[in-house]
Amino acid sequence: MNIIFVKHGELYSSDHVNLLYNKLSIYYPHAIFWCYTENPYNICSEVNIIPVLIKPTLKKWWNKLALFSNDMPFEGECLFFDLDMEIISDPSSFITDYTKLTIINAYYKNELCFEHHAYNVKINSSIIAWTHGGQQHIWDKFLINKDYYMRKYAGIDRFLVHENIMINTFKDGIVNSVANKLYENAPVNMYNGISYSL
Amino acid sequence: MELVTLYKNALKCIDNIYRVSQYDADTDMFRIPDIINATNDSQIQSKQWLVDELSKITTEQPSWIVVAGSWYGCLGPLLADAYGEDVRIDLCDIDPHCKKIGRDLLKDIGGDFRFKTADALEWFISRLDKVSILINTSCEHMERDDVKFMVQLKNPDTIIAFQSNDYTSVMSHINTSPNLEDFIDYLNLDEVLWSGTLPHPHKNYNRFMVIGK
Repeated sequence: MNIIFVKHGELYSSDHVNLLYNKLSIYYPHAIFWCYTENPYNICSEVNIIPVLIKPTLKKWWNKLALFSNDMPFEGECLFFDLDMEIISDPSSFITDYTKLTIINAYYKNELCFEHHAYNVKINSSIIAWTHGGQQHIWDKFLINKDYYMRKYAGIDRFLVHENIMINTFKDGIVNSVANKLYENAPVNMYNGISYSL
Repeated sequence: MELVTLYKNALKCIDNIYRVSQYDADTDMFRIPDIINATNDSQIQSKQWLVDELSKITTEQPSWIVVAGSWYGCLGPLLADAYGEDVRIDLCDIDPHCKKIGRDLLKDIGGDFRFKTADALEWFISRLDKVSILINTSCEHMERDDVKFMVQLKNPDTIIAFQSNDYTSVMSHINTSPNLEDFIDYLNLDEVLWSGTLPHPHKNYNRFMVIGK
């Protein structure tokens, strides 16, 4: 079992990684923790560091797609968390199937209608579950025309949906979006870009 | 006059994409703003700037020009206008759709344009001895090591005309330069024949250009 974070750039610090580790290691005591980062300074020693790939050079959230590469050192089940997530209680009852690529359903967008060419989506990749080795095709597809995809899509969620990647969603209630509160008893609060003080 | 044809072709292309989209839900509508961006004033201005300065420096008629990262090939007509319709111009881009769209945009424009879908570095490496001029107006989109490798591998007589910028907020700009000096420095040419900066007319960023050997 692998639990993975991505820390790229200056928006989040080692404190965010360490706090998530401290909380999640309670509920996943046997997991191997990883952080994919170019700056491992002050990340606690219990979190294994994966240096950011020399190539391709990617910015911000696009680095998350590298986690699907077979070159990553994971074995078996993989669980990713964005760094602006607050663990309130044990999320494992919601995260049971790693055989398919599973992502949060953005419940706060359920009632919205989007034109196809707006490329908006109703998923949120702040938590992702998958099995290592099973999603290399995502990384391969991205690499074929990455420059175009980064122009066309505002983020990886839109890329995943509109490039027809097979996606499952977690049962609603796994997260409570702080900006759109509905699931007050959710095990995870999701700040989704809102300023988040530790 | 060739620019008028280019714009007319762009409008036809966009019209066709829209018409197809009415029957095919999988039509890539993003190609519409992408084509508009490729032919906008600032893009054409920066490419005309390249051709204007390059043509002052080149004393011999080139036989073979390679444009790395050519997008939809809008530089092609400007090069053909400056150097004649007989010079071979390879327009190389890794995006597989650039070839079809590029051919539509350059339809009825005189010139020996050859669209290639390939990694620009790999394409250039296999033709090192034959290329008179190597152009790259997309350095900010490419790995710095790959850009440097192109310069290191080239024939000493091949002239390069490269552009980059300091527009860091764009996600696909993975290799910007903070200033012209940084761009000149990492290219590490044997001889810089010309260098300069072109501020964007409306946005707060600069385009840099270096011509040399």
